[in-house]
Formats: sequence, C-alpha cells, structure tokens
Amino acid sequence: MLEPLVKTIEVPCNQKKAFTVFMDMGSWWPTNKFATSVMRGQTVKALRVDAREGGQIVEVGSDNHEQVWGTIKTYEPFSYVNMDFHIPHPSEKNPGFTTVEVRFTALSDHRTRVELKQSNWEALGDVAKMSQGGYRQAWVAILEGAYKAACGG
Amino acid sequence: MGYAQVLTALADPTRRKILESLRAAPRTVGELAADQPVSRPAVSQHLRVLAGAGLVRVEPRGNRRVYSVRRDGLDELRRYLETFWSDVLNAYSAEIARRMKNDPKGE
Repeated sequence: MLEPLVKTIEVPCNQKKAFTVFMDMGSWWPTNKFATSVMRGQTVKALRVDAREGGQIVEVGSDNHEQVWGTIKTYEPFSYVNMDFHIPHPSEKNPGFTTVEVRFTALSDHRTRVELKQSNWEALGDVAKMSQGGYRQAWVAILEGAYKAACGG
Repeated sequence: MGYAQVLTALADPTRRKILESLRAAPRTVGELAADQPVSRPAVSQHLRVLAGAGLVRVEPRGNRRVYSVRRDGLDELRRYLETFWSDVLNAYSAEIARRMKNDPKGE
C-alpha cells in the first residue's frame, strides 16, 4: 500500500569513504533526536554497528539498556547495504522492521551519490504503537529543532 | 489528522484491502461489503477509521453514499518520513564534511 520512500543525497568524498562513514553510524546518527533511549527519557551512550552480513545495529542507552534497530542482510562494500530497520518505541515488545537499502555510486573521485530506500512498511504491523511515541517523538524533535532554529535559537 | 492516524488506519489488513478496492473505483458500503469477507457494519466501522485519518472521503450521490480515496492523506505520512530521513542524511553529510576538512584527501 505504502510505496517505498527514496531519498538521495550527494556527499563530497569518494565512494569508499561515503560507505565507510555511513556504516560508522555511531559517529553521525542524530542520537539526541532519533533513538529509543530518547523516548525513555535517557540519552544514548553508543550506537554499535557490526558492519557485516548478519551484523546488528544496536543502541546502548545511558542506563546500558540495549535496543536492536536492525540486522544487516546484504553487505557489499563499498556500494550497497540492505538492512532490516526500525527504531522501536519502548512499548513495542516484538517490533517489526522495515527494509532500508542504501546504494553508493561514485560520481567522481570526490563526489558520491547516496540513495536510501525504505520499504516494507507493512512489517510494522500494528503501527498504532508508533503513534504513542516512536516516530512521533522524532517528529516533535524535528519541529522543535526547526522551530527553534527559525526563531534564532 | 496526522501521520500517526494514517499509520494506524493502514495497520489493519482489512482496511488496506478496502483502500485498495477504493483505489480502483469509488464504491458504496454495500459494494465494498460484497467484496470483503466482513459484515456491512464492520466495513462502515473501517471506513470511519479511514475517513478519520483523511484517507477516504464520502460523497452523497442520490440516496447513496459513495466512498473514494483521498490522496492527500498519504501525502502527510510521506512528508513526515521525508523529513525524518532528510534530518538523518543531513547529519551523515555533515560528518563527511567534517572528516574531509580534517583529512582533505579523504582516505
């Protein structure tokens, strides 16, 4: 029913670098906004990515609570990665996962196109849970962030 | 109306089927119930949820009420998700820029 969502950006580095940095999610993911810990009123201590096929993405909260965000299904350095992905609300006991695919295409030695595709929304099943927090929390954070920025802090 | 309501509405398989059916053509409750293995009151209930989420609209046609898909309903959800990934990818791009500044050769 819901069509895949596709986002494309270009980054100013070579393909290998673009891939390596992407998989080093812990260094750049906005964990202050999008994380299960945030929904529990905690902060994120670490975001652990086991960058290999079958490896997991695990959020570690400041209280050492661990939350799996997904599992890497296909790992093809430095061009493609396919993973199950969902940042669950703390109330979700058996969260479903959407599919996130990321493709890296070299445009030159210092420019790479990164295409992200999210699909399989149906796997989230009872997404009513999301309305309680989850992405809604993230949405609030975005609004507040954008609003504050627009108002000069 | 918000994206959360849209997701909730779409979480139910029967509602997804009803919506699929309406995508093909506008229909009445009776026509929808004939297509689905659920009762007419149940179809009405599902339509209320879909309408509440802004996914379907109802129009009187003579003495019948005809339901059809409202595309704007899905747009709201899409806009939210677009913003989520924009934010995430901007953070990624900022990290690349930071690293390239520290190491311009980028190896």
